[in-house]
Amino acid sequence: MKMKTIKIAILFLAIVLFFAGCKKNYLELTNPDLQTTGTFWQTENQAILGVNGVYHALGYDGTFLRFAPACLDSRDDITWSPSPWDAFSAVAQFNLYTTNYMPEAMYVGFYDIIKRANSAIANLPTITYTTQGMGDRLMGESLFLRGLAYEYAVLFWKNIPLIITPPANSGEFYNSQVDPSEVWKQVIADLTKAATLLPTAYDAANKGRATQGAALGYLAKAYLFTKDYTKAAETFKQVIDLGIYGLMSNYEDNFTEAAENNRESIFEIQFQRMNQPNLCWVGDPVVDNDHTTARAITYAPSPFGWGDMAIRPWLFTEYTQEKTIANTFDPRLFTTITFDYPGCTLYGKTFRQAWPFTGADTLKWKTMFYCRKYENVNSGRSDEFDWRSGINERLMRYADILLMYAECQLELNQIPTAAKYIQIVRTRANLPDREAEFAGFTKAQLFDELVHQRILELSLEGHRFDDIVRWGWITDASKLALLKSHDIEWNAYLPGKEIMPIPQIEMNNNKKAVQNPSY
Amino acid sequence: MNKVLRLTITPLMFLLFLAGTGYGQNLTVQGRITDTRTGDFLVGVNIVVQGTVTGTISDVNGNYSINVPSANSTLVFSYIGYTILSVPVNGKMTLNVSLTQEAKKLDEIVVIGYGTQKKSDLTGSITVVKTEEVTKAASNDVTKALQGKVAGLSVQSGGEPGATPIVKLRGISSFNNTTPLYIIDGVATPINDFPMNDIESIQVLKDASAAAIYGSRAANGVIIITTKRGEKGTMKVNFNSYAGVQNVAKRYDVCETTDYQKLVNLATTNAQQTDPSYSGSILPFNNPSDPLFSTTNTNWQKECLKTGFITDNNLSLSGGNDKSNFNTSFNYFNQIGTMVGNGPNYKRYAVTVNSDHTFGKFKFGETVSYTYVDNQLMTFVKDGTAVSFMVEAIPTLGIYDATTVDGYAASNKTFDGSYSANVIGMNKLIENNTKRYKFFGNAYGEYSILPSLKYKLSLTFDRSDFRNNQFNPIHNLGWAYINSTAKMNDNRSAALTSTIENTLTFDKKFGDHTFNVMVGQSALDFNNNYTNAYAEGFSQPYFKVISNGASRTASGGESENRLVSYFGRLIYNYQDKYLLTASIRRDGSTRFAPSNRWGNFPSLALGWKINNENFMKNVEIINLLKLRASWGKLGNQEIGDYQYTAQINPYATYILGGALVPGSAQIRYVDPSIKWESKETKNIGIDAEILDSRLSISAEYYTSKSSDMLYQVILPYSTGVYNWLGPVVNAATVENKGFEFTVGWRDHKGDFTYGITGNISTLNNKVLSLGKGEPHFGTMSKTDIGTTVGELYGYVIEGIIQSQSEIDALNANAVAKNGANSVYQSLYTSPGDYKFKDLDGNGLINDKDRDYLGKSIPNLYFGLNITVSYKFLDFSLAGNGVSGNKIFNAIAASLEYGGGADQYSKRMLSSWTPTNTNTNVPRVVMRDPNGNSRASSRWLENGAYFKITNIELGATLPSQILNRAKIKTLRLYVQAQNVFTFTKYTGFDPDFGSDGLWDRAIDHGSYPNKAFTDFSGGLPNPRTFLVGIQLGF
Repeated sequence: MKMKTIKIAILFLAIVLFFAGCKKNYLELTNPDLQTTGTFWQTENQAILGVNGVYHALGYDGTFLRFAPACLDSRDDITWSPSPWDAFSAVAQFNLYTTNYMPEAMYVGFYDIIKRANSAIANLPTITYTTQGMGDRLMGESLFLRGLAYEYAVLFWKNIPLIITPPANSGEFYNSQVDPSEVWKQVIADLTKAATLLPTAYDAANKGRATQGAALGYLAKAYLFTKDYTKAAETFKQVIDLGIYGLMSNYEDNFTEAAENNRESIFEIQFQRMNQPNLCWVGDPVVDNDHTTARAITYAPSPFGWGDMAIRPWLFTEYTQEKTIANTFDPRLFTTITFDYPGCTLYGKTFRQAWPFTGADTLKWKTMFYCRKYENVNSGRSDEFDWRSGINERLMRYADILLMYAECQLELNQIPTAAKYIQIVRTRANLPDREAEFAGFTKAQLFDELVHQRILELSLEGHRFDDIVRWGWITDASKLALLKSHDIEWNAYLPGKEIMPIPQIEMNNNKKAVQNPSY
Repeated sequence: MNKVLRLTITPLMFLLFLAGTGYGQNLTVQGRITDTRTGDFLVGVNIVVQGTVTGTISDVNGNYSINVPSANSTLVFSYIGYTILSVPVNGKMTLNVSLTQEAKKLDEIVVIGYGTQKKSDLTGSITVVKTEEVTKAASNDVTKALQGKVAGLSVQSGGEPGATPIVKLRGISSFNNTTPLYIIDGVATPINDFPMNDIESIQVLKDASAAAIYGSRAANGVIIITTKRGEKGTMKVNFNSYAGVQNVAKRYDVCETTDYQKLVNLATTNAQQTDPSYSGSILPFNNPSDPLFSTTNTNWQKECLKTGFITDNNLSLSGGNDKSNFNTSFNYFNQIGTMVGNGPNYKRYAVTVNSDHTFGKFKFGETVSYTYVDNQLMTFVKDGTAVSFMVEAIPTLGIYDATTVDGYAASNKTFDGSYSANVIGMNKLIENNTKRYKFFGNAYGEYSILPSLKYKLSLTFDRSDFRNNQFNPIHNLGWAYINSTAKMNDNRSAALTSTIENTLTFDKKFGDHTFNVMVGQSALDFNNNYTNAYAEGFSQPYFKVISNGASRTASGGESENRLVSYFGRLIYNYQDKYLLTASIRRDGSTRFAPSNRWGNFPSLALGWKINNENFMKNVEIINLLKLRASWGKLGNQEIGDYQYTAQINPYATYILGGALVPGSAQIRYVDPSIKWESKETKNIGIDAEILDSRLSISAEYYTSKSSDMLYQVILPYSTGVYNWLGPVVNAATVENKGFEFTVGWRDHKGDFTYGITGNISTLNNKVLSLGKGEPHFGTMSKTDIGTTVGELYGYVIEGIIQSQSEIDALNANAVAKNGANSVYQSLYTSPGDYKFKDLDGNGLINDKDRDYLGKSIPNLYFGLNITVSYKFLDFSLAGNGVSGNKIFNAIAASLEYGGGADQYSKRMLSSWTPTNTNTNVPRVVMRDPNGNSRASSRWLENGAYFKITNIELGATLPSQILNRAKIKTLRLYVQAQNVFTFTKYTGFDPDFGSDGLWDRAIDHGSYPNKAFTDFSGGLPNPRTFLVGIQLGF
């Protein structure tokens, strides 16, 4: 019995020792992979990381990886969508449902930029910087990116919630939409502030960050869209007067990998081939995301890409209206469109090798017009099917600044000034100098030339649709008829359809959300 | 072995013979003893002359011979496991008898958590499934064998080799993982790759009382698996093997070339009327006047489906003596899927060794197993699997094309306009292989401090290594499925679970009071780490290792969680009439913040064995009548790790100055106050065994309420948070209620033995609260307060619009109610399109016009099992089914979309045209502008079915023959599986692995476009014909 007692004692001792061995902090585990928010936004380096993280959100499927440019372009009268996927074709036809994938991905994509920018704007002032300039710059970049995101969002959806602080509690996840004028006010406030904080240029390692010129450019555009032509003109002029921008002599330099961040560039989304397995479509960023755009494969004609976009023939006609000084076609034609002409090559093939029709099918050659801008047609690659294009998306070019400035001057009835700036753009395309002639035009006449030049200069760059809406063509019967004659997809246009639907997923999960009229 | 046996028995018999002759009587009776059911000769049966000590035992041929004192003597035959039989000699010289195996159900020992209990003493709801039943399903996964066997247990799965069935016990009581907790020999571990033949028995713990001892992780129920261990006696060698062929029996009825071309061209011309973008776009492949016009007529289902093969082989060696026992088994399983190409195939090699040793007060033992699985997956590209691509491929496309980069024909946007992927090329060219290496080791030591007090220490280490290899060569399998650079992924991960458990058990009887008290403690650590390597730009010929890619990248990560638990249980029995079980468990989990870390899970159960009451003593027909009731609370913490802390994602990189720069962002929001989810269950049941236990009845009713359910809410998209990245919150309550009824009858008449068991259970699932009041929307479901989880939701079809005037009237009404430019459905709506019902009466069809369309969860489950044996023959039949649910036939939806250039169902030949107006199939029109294919009741089908899953006929060879071959037992059998399915469902199989919590009824296709995060589809359950052998030495 004594032996037994000893044994029991030893056993309990062993158990007690075991429990003692279980350290108090046995249940304290932290994620070995990721930092927690509690230790972030504390140093200057973290501030830089956090602001870089806002730029990252520009490269999602719903932002500028694919859908934002596709949404703008496909709805205009230049492009149409032969895509079997309704995320493209239904948007292009103004016949989309609220469950359509494109607006869904875009909505969360743009609010992701806003979410990250809000986090930066709220936290940046709490950090001590080595130089005042660094703190200003980071704040300027964040404000610029939020302003940019809201400017796009209000143009896409018109009626959206205005969220400018990180949610303090779960109740703040649910927000009501505001009057669009309030969003515009915020855009103008953010960009105005950003313009005062941002530098005009960066060193080589920081090329691609938002500059003062970019903030002013988008601020001016915001004034233009809110029809404050005086302020718009002033602000465009500020960009011009910075004296650091100019047109590239070779128009095509604006759409290739070779001449990125050139002097014509106001703001570019930076893409680069990193040979990583994932495209950053959606969700959590992962370490092996590539930094490429899917625009090239999306817009490229089959068999070189998915052929989700094609060009309406009238655009070709538009280019042929005026020859250059050298009596050749406008060089912008060959950068913008792939079509059947001698010497047309793409991806190592001639046009007719690419579409080797025989017999009656060869008649189709004359009706085939495809997107060429931003495509890697001369890259040595045989197609776009590796999904990766490293060509930066030139979100705003100096040529656009010049033409928008001209538009403001026209609206302010300053016809000679407008004529001057239109001619600058024409001159780069080697078109005859008609400044003096234009200066004698009526406002309406010169406006037509402006419209014409915007088409030639800016097609496939996501501006035409906004132009149409800004100019009020959607409520003008004769202009609507013109649009329909250009692009039969416009036959289905009904008032209100120029605004994208609030995606069903927002409607389903936010009781405060109100659907846009017409959906 | 027979020699050993003979050597042992002969001297014994000799001695007994001598003893018998001592009485000096001359009357000798002899005969042969056989098993009533199998006809086997029984060796070693005790034969005693009643009222004397004279006795003998039967020899290896079942023969005996005994001297009896008189012609009126009675012989008593007894044999372990068989009913004692008394036979008067009545002057006969030869007395052949057959003994019947006892229905020893009442004394059956059932494994409960941390202990065992007599079945008749159970107070909780536990169903036991025996070996014979589980080994009948031809599958890599034992849970497939549980289908239809246990009331309240739902098992859903397709027939993909290596598939993991979706197992749910008593409804949906968690929004995260609904898989029950699997315990193998006392240790929690996944069972997907566990060889069925190593299983001795399975106990399904259904109510809170039974499962509460596993508190923290038991909310989805517990399935305890006991493996075979060696038995005392000579060494046994058993070899079990089967091999068979498998076929997919059903086909989707799709168009041949002529009909396909007719429909595509009709869809195109219909579109041209309103949408002239299509003018001139009759596709060359379908245009008779075009040089490219295709007359190819490929039957893709015929070309892709092949006869599969399945085999399972198990060799075990076991034995033991008074102090030790051992069991060693080897398993080889191989299943080759029914799809042409690389996969899916599943191959498994496993070895399991276990032993137990007793030295006085000390006992120890171990279970060690090693499993190697080679699983070749069915390859897929983007958002579809081979199965959906196979059905949806166009007939105008051939299989091979020598002129292409990979030798396979490819769809082309310009020529055929189809999204078709070349399935055969896809499944042959793309490799996707997973290898799993699993080591499982458990060792225990037990010490009897006192005869009634035992201490046990159990240590477990479980390690699973995964390697997933994908190789994607340069290919063109269709214009949307082009790969222009060869790519390879080599992903590896290791999951390690370490557990330590201490228990102290006190077991003693004091007069009428029997106590069993157990207290214990355990700690568990789970660690998972992974490394993914990626390379691309391989040159041909391909050497498929990462180093040979032109560019290479790697990624990796780690996660860990821990669980510390303390638990105790009292089992009390008074006079074998009144039973009480009470338990409590306290768990601490790293998945919650310190203030919410601990959860307490108590339970209480009472039982009353009415048959042991005095007033029942005379009711002889009732062998058992027990009433039991239980209450308990269970926990759940099956969410990801670190969910209560907000993290910074450091991969939000960007390009600046032409180079990669680091970037960080907070992507998700979290709720730091999340705590344990708890499930309260009440169970009341009655068990009865009547007429010598020939009839057994078990009936119970349960109700469970899961509260504070951990639920990943979908945030509004204006938060910038994607729907699958929402925070986990405790924000839902779900109730499950149901009746479960099991009835069995078994009896024998001479050589004829039969048994029939049926079970039926109901399920009533209801959401009581959800999130902040926002319903949860799935692809075509809506879960809201008062609905079931994943209730189907969509538009209601009113009929087909027959005329333009009908549309004009609808649009006029829309304008009247909503102002100018309003249209009822779509501007492109035409005669032949569906008219959807305007549920809110506002004159427009929008998202407010959706309604509930049916339940995706069956409300009735049933199973049937029949066994019959006559002499050496045996026969069994098993079936199961469900009813009350609907299935979204997504493959049919793809084939009947009517708006693309992919394959069409033959049903579409009756689509609406101006000359064929008496139909319920809408017109075909490119891109479906009216949204005829929107989420509606159109492809919702009745999901009820009853399926005969298994028919088996076996023959056990008589032992006379076997003895000559020195074989102890030999049984041969043939089996047919999935031969009869009674259902109205038109898809491949109403039993498939559904894809998720909110969208559980979708039988996948690949179109209309889904989010590309989904993995979809899989091979349907095949018809299987196999032959098997069970051989014992």
